[in-house]
Amino acid sequence: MSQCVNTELGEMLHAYETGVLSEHDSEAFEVHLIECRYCRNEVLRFETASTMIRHDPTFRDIADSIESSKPEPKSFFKSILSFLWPNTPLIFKPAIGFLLILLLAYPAYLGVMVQTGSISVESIGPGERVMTLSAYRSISVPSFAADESVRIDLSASYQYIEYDGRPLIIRIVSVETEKEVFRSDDWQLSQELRIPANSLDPGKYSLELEDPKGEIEFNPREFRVK
Amino acid sequence: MLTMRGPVCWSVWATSVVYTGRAVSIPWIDSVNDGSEDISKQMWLFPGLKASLFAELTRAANHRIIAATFSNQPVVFTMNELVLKAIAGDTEAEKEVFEELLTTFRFLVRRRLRWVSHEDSEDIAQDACRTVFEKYRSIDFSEGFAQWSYGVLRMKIGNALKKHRRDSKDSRAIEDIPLALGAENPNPGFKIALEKCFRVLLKSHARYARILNLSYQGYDTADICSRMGVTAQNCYSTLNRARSHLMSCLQEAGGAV
Repeated sequence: MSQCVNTELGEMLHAYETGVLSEHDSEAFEVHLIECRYCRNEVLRFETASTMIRHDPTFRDIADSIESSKPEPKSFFKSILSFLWPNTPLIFKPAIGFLLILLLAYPAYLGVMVQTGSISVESIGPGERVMTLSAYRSISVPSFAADESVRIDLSASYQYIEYDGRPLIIRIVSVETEKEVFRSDDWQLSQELRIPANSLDPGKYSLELEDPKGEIEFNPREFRVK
Repeated sequence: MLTMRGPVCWSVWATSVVYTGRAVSIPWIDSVNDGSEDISKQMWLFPGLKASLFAELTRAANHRIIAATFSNQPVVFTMNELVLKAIAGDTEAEKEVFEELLTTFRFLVRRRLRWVSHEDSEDIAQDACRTVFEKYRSIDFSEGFAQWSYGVLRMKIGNALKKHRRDSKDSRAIEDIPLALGAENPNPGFKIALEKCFRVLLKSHARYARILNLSYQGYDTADICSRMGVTAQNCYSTLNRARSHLMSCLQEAGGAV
C-alpha cells in the first residue's frame, strides 16, 4: 500500500516515533499501525534511528547543546543596536555608548552655555530679519540682504539670564574692518533693537553683548549682510 | 448484476479476488447500496459483526474494487476487509492478517517493553496473536478489529509489566532502564552517520530541536504546542519534514535506515 489509510493519524508518524505524542494519541496511532501498512512499514524502517533519537543520551546531549548554543532572541532595542553596529567588539561598546551620550548631551551643554552668556542670531521673519538670543544656536552664519531692515530682538529668549537688573551694552562690529557700526550702552533685555535698511554695508558683522560689570560674558555671534 | 447469497457466494468472490487480484463487486453489495435488501439477512455469515460495520466495510471495499478494476490496478485489501475474508473462511486472508498482526505486535512490544529480551518480547507478541486468533471469529467488533486486537495486546503487555515488577528487584522506573542499542543495530557506522545527520538537521531546523528538547524534558504535544505557540498540526508537519530530511541524509551517507 503506497498511501496512509488515515492521513489525520498518519501525520503523527514522527511525533509517535520521537515520543512527542500523549499516551492517548500514542495508543490511537498504535491502533492505526495495525490497520495501515504504509505507516507500519515506515515505522519499522525508521525504528533503529527513532529508538536512538528517543532514548540514546548522545542524541539528547546533541539536541541540548545545539539549542543552548543558539543566541537568545534579541529585544527590539538590541536588534536596532546590532543593526547600527554589527559585529562591534565588546570592548568598544562602552566607548560607543559614551560617545553617544556626549552627542546627546551636547545640545543641553549649549543651552547651559547660553544661560552663562552667549549670543545667537536665529530666526528670520518675512520682510525683515530678526536676530534673537536663544537657547538654541545655529552653527551657520546667518545672512541678510542689505536692502532689508534688521531687527535684533534680544528679549525673546534671554529673560531667564541673571543680569541683576543692569543694562547691557550691545555692539555690532564689522569683522573685516573691526569698525563699530552700532552701539547701545543702556540696552535692556525687554528692549527691541531695529537697524534701518541700508544702514549696514554688505559684509560680515559681529553681534556682541557685554555686561558693564563683566560678571557675565557673552560669546559674539556673527552674521552677514549681502 | 445477479444478487447471489450465502457462503458459496462469498467464497467464490473471495477466491476470485485472491487468485485474480481483482473483482467486479462484492455480490450482495447492490442490495446493501440501494437498501432493497435487509442487511440482517446476510449477517448469519458473520456472527460477531455488527450490521452497520458490515455494511460500511462492504460498501467501501466495493467502491475500491470497482475503481481498481477500471484503473487496471491490483486490489489491495485493508486489514478489516482481510479479516472479513478470513472470517468467511479464506485461509490466505487469514494468514495475511496474522502475519501483519504479528509484525505489528512485535514492534509494539519492543517499543512498550524495551527492557525485555528478544525471546520474551516474541513470546508476548505471539501470545497476543494467539488470543486474537482464538477469539476473532466470535468477537463483537463494535470498535473494529484493530481496536479490539490492540486491546488484547495491551492486556498482555500490562500482564508482562506486572510480572516484571513482581519478579524483578530493579526498583527503577521502566523508562530509566537503559536500552541495549548495540544489540538492535549491529552496524556501528549507522550511529555515527545518524549522529552526523542529526547534528546537521538540528542546526538547520531550530524548531525541530526545540520540539525534541521539550519532549526530552517530558512535555507532550499539547504542552509543546502551547509553549511554542503553534498548532498540533504545525508541530506534526515540522517533525515529518525533519524526518524526511533525516532519511535523505542517511541515505546519502550510505547507511540503510
